[in-house]
Parts: sequence; C-alpha cells; structure tokens
Amino acid sequence: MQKSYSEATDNELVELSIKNPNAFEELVLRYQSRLFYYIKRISYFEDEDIEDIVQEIFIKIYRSLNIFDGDLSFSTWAYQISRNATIDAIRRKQVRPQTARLEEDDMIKIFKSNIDIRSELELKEHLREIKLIINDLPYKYKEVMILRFLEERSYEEIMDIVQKPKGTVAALIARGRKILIKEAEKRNLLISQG
Amino acid sequence: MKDFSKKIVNTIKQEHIVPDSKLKINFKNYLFWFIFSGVLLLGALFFSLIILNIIDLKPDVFRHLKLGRFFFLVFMTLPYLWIGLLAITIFSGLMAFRKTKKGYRYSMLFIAGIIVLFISVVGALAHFSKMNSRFDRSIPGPRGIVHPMEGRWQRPEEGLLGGEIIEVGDQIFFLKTPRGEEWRIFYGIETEIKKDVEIKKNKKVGVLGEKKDDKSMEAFVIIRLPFRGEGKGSDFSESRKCPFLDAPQKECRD
Repeated sequence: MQKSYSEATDNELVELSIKNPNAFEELVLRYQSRLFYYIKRISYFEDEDIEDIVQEIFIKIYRSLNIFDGDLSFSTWAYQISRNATIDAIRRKQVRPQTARLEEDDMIKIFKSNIDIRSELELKEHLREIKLIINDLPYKYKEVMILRFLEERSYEEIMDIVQKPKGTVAALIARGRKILIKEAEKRNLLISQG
Repeated sequence: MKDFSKKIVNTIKQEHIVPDSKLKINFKNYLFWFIFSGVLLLGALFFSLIILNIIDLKPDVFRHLKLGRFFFLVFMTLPYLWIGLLAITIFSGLMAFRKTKKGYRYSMLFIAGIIVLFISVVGALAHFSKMNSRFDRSIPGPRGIVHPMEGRWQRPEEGLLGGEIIEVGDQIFFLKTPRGEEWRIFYGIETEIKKDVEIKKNKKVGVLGEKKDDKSMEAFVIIRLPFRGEGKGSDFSESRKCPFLDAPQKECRD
C-alpha cells in the first residue's frame, strides 16, 4: 500500500514531487513556517515581504529538485537556498542597513546559550542592555549564532547552510561568544560579577 | 503566517513549472570543475618550466662566485614570468574550487595544499617526460623575457659572459656575445677549462671571470655555453635555440 504524503520522508517527497507537484505541497507544509521564521531572524523584512520571499524560495526549490542528491538533508538544503535567496533580497533592497531582527525571547535565548548569566527574571530586567549587545553584534556572527542557538543546527549543518568551512563556522561562533561575554562584563551582567 | 502550500502548488501547475534538468542546474558546477582542472594542468606546466629554468642554473658552475653574488645572479635571473603565471593559476584554482558545489567545505589552506601538491607532482612528471622542453621549444615571443638564460650570461660586471668564439690566439680568444659585442678573453694555466670545452672558432662558451677593462675579461672558468640546446643532456633543437638570433643557422650548429 502506498504511503500517504504525510508519512513519507523528506527524501521520498522530493522523489515524488518530481513526478507529481501535489507531493510538493507536503514539503511546503513542513517547512514554510520554519523558513519563514529563519528568514525573519536573519533579515529586517516585514512579514509580507518574507512571505513573498518564502514563496519564491519554494518555487526555486521545486525547480532545483533534480540536483537534490541526499548528500545534505532536505532541511539543510532548504535553509541553504533560503539563506542565499534572503541575502539576494537584502542586496536588492539595499535602502536599509543590513541587520537581523530578533524577537526578545530569541535575544535572551542567544544570550543564555553563551553566557553564564543571572536568572531569567533578572535578564528580562536587563533586556534593554541585552538588545543593545545583540543588535551591535556584527551580522556574520549573529547569523551563525542564530543557526546554532535558535535554529539548533549542528556545526556541519551550519557549514552547509552558510557555505563556509566548518573551522570558519566554529571560529565565528567562538568570536561572537567572546564579544557577547566582553559586552556582558562591561554591563555587569555576569554571575561572577553579580 | 499564512499557509501558502496550496498557492505554491497551484502556481507550479498553472505556470507549468517543472524541475530543471540536472545538466542545466549543475552547469555552473561543471564549468568551475572544468576551469579548476584546466588551471591545475596549466599550473603543472608552468611549474615544470620553472624546474627547467632552475636546473639550467647549473650551481656547480657558480661555485667560484661568492655566495652573495651567486644569490644575486639567481635572484636576477629567476624565471619570473613562469613564477608569476604559476601564482595566478594557483589563485585561479583556489577561486574555481571554492565556486564548485561543495568547494566551500574546505579551508583555503587545504585547497591550496592540494593544488600545490598536484602541481608539484604533475609538474615533476612533465619535467621527467620532457614535456616542458617540448613546450619551451614551441614558445614564440621575446626570449629576453621568457628565457632568462641569455641574460644570466650577459653580465660581465658580475663576471659572467657567454658567446661564440670568433678568433683564437695565444692564451686569448675573442668572444662574440648574442648582443653582437666582441670581448677579449684572457686565459692561462690557472684557468679551469671544463672537459667538454674546446677553445676553437665557432664554439660557444661561457666564461666566469673578472672584467679587466672595457671589452676584456680574465677567465677563471670556461664551460660549454649553457644556453638551451647547448648544455649537457639537452635535447633542444639547435637551430631553434641558437642564441645568436641574427646569425645564420649554420653558425649555431657546432
């Protein structure tokens, strides 16, 4: 008996989608939300713009299905395409400075993942300072930290998504963390100084 | 966030969008692999030409020179054209590899290491198979730039002079350089004359010595002229390699 689309793996859906576009609907359902929030985190676009970008990305993914060889997971491959499409969109709309827009919870999550800090309650009291620190973080560090601590991707997956060697990814995360600690120290947010 | 899964599938159906062929999507990848391979082979060729030129240095000939002067001469006459082209090919290879589908996974240092290793091995093979000699023979253009050997033996101030013997006297001979200058070369029993050298008219020799005055030199060592086609073990065509570019071909065949 043939499996329903919802039971099929990503790789099986890719195979099926090449023959029948209806199977692609399941892939879109699985990833539209994740890609939407990923793009939102790494860009400054409004929700409507992001929705347009995500739709373009899925069409691009569909057109490229023939080169999906399973070497990367579909998820990593989709993130890679999404990141490239977002960067292209940012370049096209260079009217505003390139930055990432993070929700407060995301900022706290990144902060907590890297720094031995006070209680979450205290953290929320210092939200303004945390926002400043995260917003001042250069984009190249912020991008990999979003993937590592918010998207919870492995170093290998980040390497494939941002298309940089693994060593470079590790170095970017380490440097980003160093900057966060330094800035937290300056603002007296570390436990050791509390 | 809206669910646009149905909208996307409808767009695909209405606009008859189909997945692109592998060849079309991978064209860029194949192109960069092609460039990378071509660049590696070119790099190997340039490397083999560098070997050819460096081997032509014949370090034993220079042992009479002071170390500083030896390095100065080497520095002055290195095959910079090939070295420059090799550097360009290594850089191009790096860039091309990084543009391939999985090129981003490797550090620049690793890719550079692989490129250098490949170029060294294939370049050495090209040298041992004398492919570099055959290529070198077919190179047109200004020899002064491409071939540094002539320049190396046209430095009387540094004690190096090469050319063809046009007249022989008692402990003296006259040497005509590729530039058409005539020099008096003094030699004696203290002069080291290499075994394969004949001090005879029309023979081409290289002289290591000391410049005495305008157009005269005292020889310390006399060797067979090491221009390509003249050195030991060379397989170069003499007619092509005649250093006297304006001389009749027969003068170059001794």
